[in-house]
Amino acid sequence: MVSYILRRLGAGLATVLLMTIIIFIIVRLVGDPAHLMLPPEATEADRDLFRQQLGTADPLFVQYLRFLGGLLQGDLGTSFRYGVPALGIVLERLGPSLYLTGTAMAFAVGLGVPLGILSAVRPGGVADQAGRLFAVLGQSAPPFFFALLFIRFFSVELHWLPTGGYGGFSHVLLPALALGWYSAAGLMRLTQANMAEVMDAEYIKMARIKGLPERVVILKHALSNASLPVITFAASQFGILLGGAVSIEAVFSWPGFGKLIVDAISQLDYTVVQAAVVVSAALFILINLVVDLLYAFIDPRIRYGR
Amino acid sequence: MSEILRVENLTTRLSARDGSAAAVDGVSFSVHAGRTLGLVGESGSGKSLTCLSILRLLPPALSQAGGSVWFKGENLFDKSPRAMTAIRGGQIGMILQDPMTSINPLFTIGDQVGEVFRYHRGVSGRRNLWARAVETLRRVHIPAAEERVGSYPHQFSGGMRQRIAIGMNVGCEPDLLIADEPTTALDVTIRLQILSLLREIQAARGMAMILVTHDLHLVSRFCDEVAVMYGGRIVEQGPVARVFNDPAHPYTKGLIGAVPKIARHAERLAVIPGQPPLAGEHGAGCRFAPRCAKAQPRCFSHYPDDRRFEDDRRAVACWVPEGLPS
Ligand SMILES: Nc1ncnc2c1ncn2[C@@H]1O[C@H](COP(=O)(O)OP(=O)(O)OP(=O)(O)O)[C@@H](O)[C@H]1O
Ligand SMILES: [Mg+2]
Repeated sequence: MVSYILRRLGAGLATVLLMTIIIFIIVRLVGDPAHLMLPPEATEADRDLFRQQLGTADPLFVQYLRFLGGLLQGDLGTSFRYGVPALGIVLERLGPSLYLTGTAMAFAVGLGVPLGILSAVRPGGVADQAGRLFAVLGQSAPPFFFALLFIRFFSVELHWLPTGGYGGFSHVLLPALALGWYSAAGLMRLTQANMAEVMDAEYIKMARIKGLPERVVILKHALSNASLPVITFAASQFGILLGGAVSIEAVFSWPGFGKLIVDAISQLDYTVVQAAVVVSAALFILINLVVDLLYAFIDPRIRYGR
Repeated sequence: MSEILRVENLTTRLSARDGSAAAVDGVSFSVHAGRTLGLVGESGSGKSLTCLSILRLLPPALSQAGGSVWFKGENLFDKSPRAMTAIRGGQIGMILQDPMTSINPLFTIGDQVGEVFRYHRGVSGRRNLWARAVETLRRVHIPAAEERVGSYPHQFSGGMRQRIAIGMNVGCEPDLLIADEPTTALDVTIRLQILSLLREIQAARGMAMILVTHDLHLVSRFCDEVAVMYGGRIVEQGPVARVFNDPAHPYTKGLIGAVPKIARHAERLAVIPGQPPLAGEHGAGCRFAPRCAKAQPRCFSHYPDDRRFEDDRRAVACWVPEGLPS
């Protein structure tokens, strides 16, 4: 088990490295900050000097090695634009983003999974019908559309919730709902499909033959077996949510990670882009590791098989 | 000798869009304490549905259309869902065909055997539940039960798993155990061990048993009575020795004739020419008539009533039974 975790961690680190190489090259293909950040009337000598200060004058592999050296010490360079450590800027914005995507995820799981279970247990019932509508609506439009709709209705018309800005539950509710609905719909469908399949299994028949209460049959024997693909899907939704958050953060003026990356790319702030990629790649590796551990925790065949 | 179960006129219908068809059609039989009824018949004749109907656990596509199931004097069809939950696993157990799929792969066997004590006997606490599980696993002869109680299903062989499944179903000392082809999925060498185990458990408390099987040799070795099903109906029933030595229904006769006398373990039954009918796809007459060498015109138009004979101990549904005046 331990060697399994170490192997997965090793593979994860390799992925981070690969990601850094790719982003390192791509971000330098987009443009040269010496052109963007200096006024048009600056001379070529000015620009060279500027490049030397930023460190972008050196050959690519020298820059990359310097970057790796910094990475080992937890230093991801200084933001070209703000002159402060890039990692600090990224982490500062990561908090609000995780708060938003975390709430959206909680909403997606908290609504999608129970609805999926109910509709699988009683096909054609009220939950099934409502769930179907919920899923179709959620997958019919992109999150920013719901964001605008929600603002118009709940904030502008009803004055129930703020139109935007960072804050507590009343601030996060609308953006999280708009962001999480799509994932909630997917989770509902997947939970329903898996539960419906598991409910036909012989061990479910046996659980009933044993005279277990229906709640034990469903929540213990069926849900545990239906949960593995659902967990994988939920984890994969983290990426979707972080991506979707870019537009949601813009609509709700949420000081998040998405907006930071977009700004950093358009400003050719290489170090901030690199730091953001390292941090988000590390985040995904962590999430995947948690998923692997959950798998092993739930399924003894995985635990003993490796 | 007390009657534990009496099934009367049990009818189970398959609800399809274009009307419904009877998959089990007026089945009646009874089982007594300490005795075993063998239920035989070709694939699709309705054996499993009969068993599941007794427990009221029919799959969603099927529904109970009539009849009654008297268990220790009470009609199970009148029971509340809650009362049925208490009866299942507590007073009636059932074992399924394939032990590789009938046990949940994600929980320890101690947990899954212990569950019945938790929900039927109110035992609580992991230690107490495991103690009961160990006790039960010993009863079904799982070697080193104390050490293996924390193991998972995939760590056991098919035969061991079937023992565990039996343990789950006899832990609460049921009065009736239904075994739906308990050995079909197992190695030939293990089959007799499983059946001896069932017999041992039966002998200890005089439990009644229904054994569904395709293997007529098992019936003659392990059953007291036999009921032969065909097309959702019981065509003949009675004491095993009498029925096998002197079959009255042409179908029973065909079955017995189809089993090679020398082979110890019979092959599957479908050696009679022709195919059994699908649920609902038969005429008003005897379901077996199209395959029957003795069939007469009335066999195709009217279903024969049950005829009782040999002091009411046997019954046959045939217009032209063997050895009886037609
Ligand atoms: N879930 C179901 N949905 C639809 N039809 C079913 C279902 N279960 C059984 N049937 C039908 O009901 C009839 C009786 O089935 P049953 O399972 O009782 O047969 P069986 O005698 O147990 O056969 P086998 O020896 O193959 O186990 C068959 O025609 C079968 O096709
Ligand atoms: Mg069957």
